[in-house]
This record gives sequence, structure tokens and C-alpha cells, in this order.
Amino acid sequence: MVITPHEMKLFIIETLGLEDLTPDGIGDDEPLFAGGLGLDSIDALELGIALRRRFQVPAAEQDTATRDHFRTVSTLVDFVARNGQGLMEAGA
Amino acid sequence: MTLPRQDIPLVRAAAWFGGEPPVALPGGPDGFLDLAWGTPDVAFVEPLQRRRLSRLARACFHCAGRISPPGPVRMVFASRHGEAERTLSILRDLAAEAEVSPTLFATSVHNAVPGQWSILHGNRAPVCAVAAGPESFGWGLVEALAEYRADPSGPVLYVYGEDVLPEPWAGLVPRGLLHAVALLVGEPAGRRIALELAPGNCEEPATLQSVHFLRATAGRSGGGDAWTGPGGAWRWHLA
Repeated sequence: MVITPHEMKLFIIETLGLEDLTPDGIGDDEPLFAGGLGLDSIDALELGIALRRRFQVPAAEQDTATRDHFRTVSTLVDFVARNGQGLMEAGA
Repeated sequence: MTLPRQDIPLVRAAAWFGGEPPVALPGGPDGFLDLAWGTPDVAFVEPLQRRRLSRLARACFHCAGRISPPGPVRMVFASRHGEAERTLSILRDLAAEAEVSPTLFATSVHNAVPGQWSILHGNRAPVCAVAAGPESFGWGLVEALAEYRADPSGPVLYVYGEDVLPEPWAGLVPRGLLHAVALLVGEPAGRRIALELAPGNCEEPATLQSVHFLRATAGRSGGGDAWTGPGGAWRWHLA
């Protein structure tokens, strides 16, 4: 399914309670973890669960490919485009 | 339960209420009690850490932030129900056979508040978390006093907090009140409070032990303040 980078940023902000951030404050290719946005391993787990719930993407394996999918907003958009199902809920 | 008279040295105190305090609590001209209500002040917490703080944690951080000394400090945390709302959310996910939120799991355990405080301050001093029914405030303070007596070379930060219980648990206790109290147990004491615990028994009281204690620290009523619960009659007065 197709999700825009802007929608993915809103989804990340909402899922992780990033109350001080706006989509404009997150770069499409900015690293989400390790430096960059400064998210941690609990955020990665939380995001994985939320992606499975919302887009029915397959359960993530703890491997290098998963780390690559979760690296930036752009890689997540690409990951959902290739693996996700369902529709983005209005307003989300 | 009985306890011989204990004199508790308190350096300073802070209290925060979600709404206006249920009783008048004068801070006193010496500024011993830092009293506030409304929005808790947690601006000193970085946004990435602040977003994970619950209502209860924000209330406790507000009070601890007002009185905590710099550097490592031993800490006792007490709450009757702790993070009940987060626990309920986890139970609902489990009942629906849904995946449990790692954030809720990590921040719902009873020592989550002092744990997050320790991470924020890089505090490696020991931490203890107490739950003792309607007398959680009193026994948490006794625990903090015991830890201070065991090693009086530095103070012990005591933090107590309570949130209202969510449905369907809300009706199980007479009343709930979002509030927190922090006391720095040690010297030099701004107040010395004598505690006497005598046998007594009362069904679930309608008032909160923590609020009666705060009234005793204000020292207005001369004879102090008393509260009787299932485990005994607690009385505090200025020593």
C-alpha cells in the first residue's frame, strides 16, 4: 500500500508520543535511531507493533534487513509499500 | 500494629495536587513545604524522556524536583496503586490477545517512577518501592526513616504518589486523588515530626493518610494530626 513520508511521520509522532515534534522537524532520510532523532530500542519495538497493527506488515525478524527497514522515514515508507496491507485511517 | 515513638528529621518537603488541595496546607514562613497544584512542572525533563512519564510520574517528578539534592541520593517510592491505568491497558491487550506495548510494560512496574528518575539523573544509589494498602504513605515514610537511620551520612529522598483508579476499579476504594508528596529525610532538619502508631482498627477511611501527615507538618493544630486505618492509629505531631 502507498503511504506518503508525511503520513509516516505523523504515524511515528502519534505512536511514540513525540509531542514536541512536527512532521516538518523530521527529515525523510534522517536516521531515526542511533543519533539522528534519538529513538531507542523500546521505540523500535513499539513502532514494529504499531506497523503490524495498522498495516499488517509481517512480524520483524531481528536481523540486518529489519534494521535497514527501520533506519529512516524513507526506508519505512518503502517497507510498508512492499509489505503492507489495508488503508491508512483518515486523520492518522 | 504498634510502633514506639519515632522522631523523623525532614530537611524540606513538597506536595502537588491535580486540583486544589482538599484541605488548607500552609507552607509556613520558613518555606519548609513547597505546595503547588494544577500543571506539574517537569520542564527540567528532556522531551524524549518526558513523553513516557505518566500522570503519576509527572506528579512525583514535580515534587522530587523541588527538593532533591544534587548528586546521588537514596530513594524510597511508595504508592498504593502505582501505574494502575497502564497496568489495566496491558491487561486489556492481553485479554484481546493483542501484542503488549513495550513502553507501557516498561513503565507500569511499581518501581518505574524511581527508575525513570534514576535514569534521568544518572543516580546509582539504591531505590526501594513500597505498596502497603491504604497505609502506603505511612509505611513508605517508615522505610525511608529506617534507611536513613541505617546510614545517616546522607539524606533519603522519599516520594509518594497516587493517581485516581480507572474504571472498572474506581469503585473499589472510597476515594482517589491525583497527588504526590516528596520529603527529604535527614539533617539539617527543617521540621522534626514525631510518629506514634497505636493499635486501632478502622474500615477503609474516607480521607488520605498523606494529607493528614501534611497537616501535621504545618503544626497549626498543636496536637498534630491523626489518621486511623486497617492497621492502626497513626499520629504525627511536631517533635
